[in-house]
Formats: sequence, C-alpha cells, structure tokens
Amino acid sequence: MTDFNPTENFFQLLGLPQQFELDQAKLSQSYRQLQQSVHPDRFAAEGERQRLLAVQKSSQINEAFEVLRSPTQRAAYLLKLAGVDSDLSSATFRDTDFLMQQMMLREELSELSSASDPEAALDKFYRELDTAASNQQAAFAGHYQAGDYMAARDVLAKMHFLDKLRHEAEQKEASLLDY
Amino acid sequence: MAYSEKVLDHYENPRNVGKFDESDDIGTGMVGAPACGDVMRLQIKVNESGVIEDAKFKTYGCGSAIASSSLLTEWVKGKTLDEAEHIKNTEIAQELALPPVKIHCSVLAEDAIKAAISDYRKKKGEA
Repeated sequence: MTDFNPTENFFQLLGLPQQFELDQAKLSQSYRQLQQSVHPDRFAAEGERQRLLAVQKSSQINEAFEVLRSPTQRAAYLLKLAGVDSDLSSATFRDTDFLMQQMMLREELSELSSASDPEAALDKFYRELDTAASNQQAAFAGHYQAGDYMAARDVLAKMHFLDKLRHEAEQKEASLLDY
Repeated sequence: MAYSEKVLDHYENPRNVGKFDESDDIGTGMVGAPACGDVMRLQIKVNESGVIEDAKFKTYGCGSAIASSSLLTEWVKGKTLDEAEHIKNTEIAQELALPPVKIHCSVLAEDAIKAAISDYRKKKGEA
C-alpha cells in the first residue's frame, strides 16, 4: 500500500492534474487501481493498524472519486483548494438574464406533462440542459485557468441552478414513466 | 419538517401569482438561491404618487420560499416604495413561523422586493 497521506489533495491522490478538465477514463482507471491496492483481502494477514489504515485510505479514495467525477463538486473543490470561499448557502444570486432563462426552463418543465409526446419533449429538455451545462463548465474552466476565481464562483452558482433543474427533470421523468 | 399553517395556506393558495408585461410603471426583481436552486420573480406596479398598486410573483422553490414571496406581495400592496423597502426578512420569517433552516427563504423575498424597487427606480431615472 502507498503511504496514507491525509494532506494529499484529491487530485494528487488519484494522480490527476489539478485542473477542471478531467479525463474520465483515467479517473475511473486510477480509482479502480487504488481501491485494489487497499482491498481488505490484501491486509488480512497484517496487523490491526495496517488494516485500519487501509480502510481509511479506501474511504478517502471513494470520497475523492465522488467529488472529482461531478463537475459541480470538482469546481467547488478547486475553488476551495485555491482558498476561495465557495459556500453559497446564504448568497443571493442576481444575474437577471440567467435567472430569467432559468425561470423559462422551469416553466417549460412544468408544462411538459401536457405535451403531445411528453417523452420526446423531455428528451429535448435534457439536451437543452446538457448544452447549458457544458457552456457553464467551459466558462468555469476558462475563468479558473485565468485565475479569475470570483468569476469562476459566479459560474459555480449557475452550475448549482442547472443541477437542481436536472434533478427536477429526473423527478418529472419518474412521474411520467410512473415508476 | 412540518410547515406552519400559514406557510401551508400560502403554499396551497398562493396570492398574486403571475406576471405583468414589462412597462414603465412595473419594477421587476429576479433573485435566486444557488444552494437550493430556488428562483423568484417579484413584480410591482407603481402609480404616479409612488404607491405600489399591485404586485405579482412567481417562485420555483420550496413551500417556505413560495409562502415568503406570496405573503410579501400581499404586504407591499398600498405601501409606498420607501415603506416597502423597509420590510425586513425577520418580519416575514416571524409571520410565517419559519424554522431556522428556512430563514434564507425570507431573505430571498426581501432581496426580491429590493431588486424590484431598484429596477423601477432605474427605469424612472432615479437611481
């Protein structure tokens, strides 16, 4: 087992460059290899301390994987590493154009069930969301790379709104399909 | 978490839901809470003596956010812009008996009315 190093950040832990752009295949591969290296079977014969360390490392690897594979969590984590307060829990967001667009998308979603073909309408809606999400991710990457962390944080707020909308679309989908 | 009766009342029978078409006597406030993804639009219709004649809102969010904006549209009607500007989120939270985790919904409503007033004043060239 590689040494357990709690000061290592998630990118270092998974052997990935500390940036927003991410090679998903490399992340998955690195994750699987690391998890194998700390698998309990390998430590069955070791002392209790070694077994405990392996369990800790395994949970650290899991957390790193979950954070890095989600674009929004990865963005928030990068800002945190840069020392930027990315806690948005009490912040009011005032980008009128973006909020108007969000309102229109939410109206569109709420009227989906009365569409003549709700499933096709939902597919179209997901495509709109995908486009909006990739635009924001590209914007985040640009601001982050340029070191403009305040602008990057604004984009992170937008990513949160889009995630929430996707979550609502998924709930809508479940109710349409009557799971 | 249980909602208070007043929140439920506003949630089930929201007052003044809707939209004014943009014109000179309308002020529009758009605000959002990134943490929970709530989006709130609050509009005021102001007469020539600076009194809010009518108000409308549309909120996508939880029951507390809907109730906060619904209550606020009732409160601001008949008030001058200056009076409406001084409504505090704590008054909304108290009236609706919001629990601590939902206080931010009343803050959002206060920010929405302030944004609407500021938008109206900007249109009138006062700000």
